[in-house]
Amino acid sequence: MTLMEILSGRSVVVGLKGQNKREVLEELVNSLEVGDKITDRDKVLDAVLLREEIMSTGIGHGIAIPHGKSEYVTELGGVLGIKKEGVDFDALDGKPTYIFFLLVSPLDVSGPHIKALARISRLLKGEDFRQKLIAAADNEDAIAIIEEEEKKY
Amino acid sequence: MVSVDAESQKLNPVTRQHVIKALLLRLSSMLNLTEQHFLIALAMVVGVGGGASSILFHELLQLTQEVFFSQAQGWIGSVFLLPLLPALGGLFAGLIAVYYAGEARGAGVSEVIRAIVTRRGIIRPRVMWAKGLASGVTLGMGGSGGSEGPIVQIGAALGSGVGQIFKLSEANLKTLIACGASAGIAAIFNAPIAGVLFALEVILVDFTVSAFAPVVISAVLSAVVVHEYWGDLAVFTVPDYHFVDASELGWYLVLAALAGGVGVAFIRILYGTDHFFEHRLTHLPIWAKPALGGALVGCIGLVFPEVMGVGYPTIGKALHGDLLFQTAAVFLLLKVVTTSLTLGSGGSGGFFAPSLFIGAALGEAFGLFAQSYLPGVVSPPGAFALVGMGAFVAGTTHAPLTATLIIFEMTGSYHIILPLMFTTIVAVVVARSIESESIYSLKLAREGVRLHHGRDLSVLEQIPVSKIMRTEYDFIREHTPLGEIVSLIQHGSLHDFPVLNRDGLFLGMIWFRDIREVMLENDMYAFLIAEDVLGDAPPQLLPRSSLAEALVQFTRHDTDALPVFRSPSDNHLVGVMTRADLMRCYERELLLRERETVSS
Repeated sequence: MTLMEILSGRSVVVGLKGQNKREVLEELVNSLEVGDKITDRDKVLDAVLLREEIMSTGIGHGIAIPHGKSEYVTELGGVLGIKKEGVDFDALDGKPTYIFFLLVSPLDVSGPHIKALARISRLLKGEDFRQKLIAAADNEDAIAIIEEEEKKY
Repeated sequence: MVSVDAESQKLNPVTRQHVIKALLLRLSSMLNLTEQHFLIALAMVVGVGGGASSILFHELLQLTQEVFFSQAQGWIGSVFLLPLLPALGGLFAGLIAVYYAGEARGAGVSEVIRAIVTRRGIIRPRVMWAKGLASGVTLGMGGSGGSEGPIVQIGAALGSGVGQIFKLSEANLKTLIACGASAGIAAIFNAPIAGVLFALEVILVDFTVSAFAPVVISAVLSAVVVHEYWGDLAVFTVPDYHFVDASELGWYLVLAALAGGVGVAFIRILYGTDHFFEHRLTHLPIWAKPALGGALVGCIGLVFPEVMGVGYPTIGKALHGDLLFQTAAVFLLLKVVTTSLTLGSGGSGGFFAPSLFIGAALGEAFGLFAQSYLPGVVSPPGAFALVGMGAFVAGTTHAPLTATLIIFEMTGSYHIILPLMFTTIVAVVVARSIESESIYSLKLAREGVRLHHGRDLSVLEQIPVSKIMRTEYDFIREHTPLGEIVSLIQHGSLHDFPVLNRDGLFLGMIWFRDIREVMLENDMYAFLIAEDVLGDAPPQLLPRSSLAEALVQFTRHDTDALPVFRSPSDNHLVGVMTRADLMRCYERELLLRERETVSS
């Protein structure tokens, strides 16, 4: 499973407007189209927020991988958001977060959910890749950067 | 070395065996040989032995046929005494089965599967002589049956015997049995590839690589031995049939469905006859029943001698399209009857050759009908006979790969392989949807052995899950970080864990196969929790569920552990049951059963 597959080849938001965790998460969930992979935005947002309450998904190095499972998700899906200025996301290392990869799955899906998480975490390990993403000019640029990076694997 | 030899002379046979084994072990460690190499060496022995015994068996059959069948009619004076011959053959087989080895009764393949599934791969060496003689005489004197069943059983007994001499493990013993079976098929049909597939598809029900090498080597050597003796001849010489036109595939589909259906009918009539002889004719001694069956076959043989014996010449005619429609139809019906009478009464022989016969007759009859009445049919009836033969064999044995390959190797017709593959598979699907057991497994099922992926479910049906489930087990809380879960897996005895919430209610399972993906990603240890990696819902096992049910679930879900619930649709966990415990219990029950059989 590639990042581009998870993102359906298009779900990228460069230049997030949100100023805090909740706003960023709302913005990411809002860019998922209802009827495509989810059936109810608010319910999906609740699931993601609830998961954040238990333990932050800001894993440091400027990355967060918020995720959640919900009965209101029909198919595994993701959104990549980037904010050059950074946001406080309660990251493990206490530093601001720039890259946000939202992943949502249906309740009864476990294998693909875990595979997708592993894939995202593995790719974002590359320092170069992270810097390029943060510097991306617009959505198309970010998509090109991801496609370029995925060719290596 | 001299002193060792002199010493071993004085030892009794058991300790001598140990000395030989110790010497072999030392030799193999000197040559850096592994157990697998040793097994392959034994597979070579079994292959050569299997090939040689096939030749012996075939010669015995030919000799019996020559002496009694061809010449005896002169001695007995009247052709109306012909039924005496198969009756005598049956009597002989009956006496062997009752007084020497009961395993020689009926078809051989089911007995081999029984030895694999319920007897830990142990087959008595005497089965070799018993089966060879009983079948050779039954078939040679006109009983209707095939030579593959006996030859598979003889090869398997040889394999098991060789393995027992070297005190091999149960798994290796079973592999050698499969080697013997593949050697038998390879030799008797000059079909080494089909031999290998038969061993894997029917005998072991296992396509893993470990058994593959010995089984292939055994089949090859057996075929080589037979080539040296008889030459490399296809069993049947047929015209080079082709798959002519795509539109004919539709008619092949009809033939396949027909073959599957008639296959099931054959199986039912066969075992119906078996039931009749066993339970209705109780006043007759067991050894006399095959004689009665033989006599009835002989009566039919007075008018239609073609449906006696193995019947290869008639199959050859059908494959050339030389039988008339009425003849093929009558032969088809009568072969079902004579085979049921011979094997159902307790005579000795296989199902395979009769299946070939019936399938070829059915295919030819269909082909003749198709040529005259159906639109778009251009292939000759012989082509349908060939394909029908494969489809019918597949329909009765539920072994499509073996059926396809055996027809290909017996006839050397490659150009017809597409409809052949297609019809064999369809025939299996049709046959299975009517009757879930194959001609081999139905015999065992009727005697209480229920096969599931090569194991006997009936052993486990009487035991409830509560007997072996663990009531003390490790579990995980919903918010436990991944790092802790991984260390639990590394240090605990289990790989799959139940996840409970704070109130102790079951939330789901964490399956090792899922989190394997993230176990190497140290970065994720801190930010993933149990809830994130919670797996699919497990099946609802209850304390009163049977172990047979549990085994089916373990196979279906491919897991090491399954949760056991207090009651249906209740998320109170009462225990965890592991696949390892289940297998241990299965082995123990098999041993107990074996002891009961021996003591009774």
